[in-house]
Amino acid sequence: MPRPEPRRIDRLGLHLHPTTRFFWGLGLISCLVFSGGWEARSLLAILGLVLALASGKRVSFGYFFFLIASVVVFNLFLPLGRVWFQVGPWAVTEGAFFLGLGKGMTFAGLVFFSLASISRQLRFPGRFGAVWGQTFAWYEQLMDQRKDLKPRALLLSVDRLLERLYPTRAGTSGRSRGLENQGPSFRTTTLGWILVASTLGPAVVIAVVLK
Amino acid sequence: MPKSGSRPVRTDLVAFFGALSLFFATLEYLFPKPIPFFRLGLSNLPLLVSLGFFSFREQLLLLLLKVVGTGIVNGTLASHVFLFSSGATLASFLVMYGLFRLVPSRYMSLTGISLAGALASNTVQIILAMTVVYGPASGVVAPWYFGLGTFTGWAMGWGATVFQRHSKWLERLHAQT
Repeated sequence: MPRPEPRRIDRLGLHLHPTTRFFWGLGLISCLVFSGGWEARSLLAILGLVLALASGKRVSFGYFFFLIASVVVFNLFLPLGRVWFQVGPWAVTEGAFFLGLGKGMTFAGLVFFSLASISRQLRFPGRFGAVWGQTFAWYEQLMDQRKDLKPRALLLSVDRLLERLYPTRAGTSGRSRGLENQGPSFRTTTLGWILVASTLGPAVVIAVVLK
Repeated sequence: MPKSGSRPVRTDLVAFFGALSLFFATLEYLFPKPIPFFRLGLSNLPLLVSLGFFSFREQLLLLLLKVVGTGIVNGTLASHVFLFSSGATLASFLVMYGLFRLVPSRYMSLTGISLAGALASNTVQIILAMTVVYGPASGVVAPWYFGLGTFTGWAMGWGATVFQRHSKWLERLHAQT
C-alpha cells in the first residue's frame, strides 16, 4: 500500500461554498482561455498555482514542468517567425517557442485553476446529483476502510471489504447506503467573497491589458 | 445478457461500482508514476467486471459517474485532463461493450476485450493530443503510447479475469442479478 500522505488543509474550502467556488473557477478559466499572449497566460498560471497550493491539493512540479516543456518542444517542429538557431535542417523559431509556451501555460493553468476550484463537496442537482451523493458516500467508506486490504491476500481482503459494504449473502443485514452526503450547509464568508473579487478582478485586467 | 431499457436502472448497484471506480482511481493517483502521463487504468476494472450484468443504460451511468467523479476527486473536472479522460473512457467503453455483445466469449476473452478497449482509449488520446494540446508533431510518441496501452490493457484484462474467477462476492452478485 502507498505511504499515507501528510494531511493538507484546504484553506479555500473554509471560506468558499463549493458551488461559488466552482463558478469562481470557471471565471478564472475563462480569463485564461481568452487571454492573448504568453505573458498573460504565464501570470494567470502562476496565480492558479498559488490558489491550487492554498486549496491543499497535491501539485507535482515535475509533472507540470514536463507538460509545459513537451508542449513547447512539439510546437517547435512547426517553424514560425524569426529563426533563433538551426539544428541541422531543423530551425528553432521565436514564434513557435512563444506560441508553445503560451499553450503550455494555458494547459498547466487550467489544471491549477481546476484543482483550486473543484471541491469534493460539490453537489449536482436532480437525479444524477442523488446518485452522485450515494456514490461519494460509498467512496468515503471505501477510503476509510482501505487499510483492511492486505497485499498478501489481496483477492480475499477485497472480497471481504466488498461483502461488508454491499452484502450479497442471504440473511445479511442491509446495505450501508444510507449515508448520502448532502454537502456543506455553510455559505461563502465575507473573506471568501474578498478572495473571489481580489483574484477575478486582476485576472480580468491581465487578460484584457496583456491581450 | 441484460437488455437496454428492459428494466429500471439499478442506481444503488451502479453507484457502488462508481464508488469502486473512484476508489481505484485514487489508489492509482497515490502511487508515483514511473513515466509522466502513464496510467495503469485501475479505475476501468469495475467497468470491465460489470460488463456481464449491467444494461447499456446502467453502463453509461457508471461511465458518467467514473469520469465526472474522477474529475471531482482529483480536481481536474475543469481542465483538459477531463476532456482526455472522458473521450478515452467513452471510446474504450463503446469498443468493449460492442465486442462483449457481438463476439461470443469462446472467441474473445475478457483480456482481449480489455486490450481492444485500451487501444481505443489510446487512439482517442493520441488524436486529442495531436489536435488539442501538443500539435501534429506529437504523433511521434504514438508507437510508445500504443506499446504501453497494450501492456496496461492486458494487465487490466488479466486482473479482471482473475477477480471474476475467484471472487465469491461477484459470483453471488451475478446470481442475484
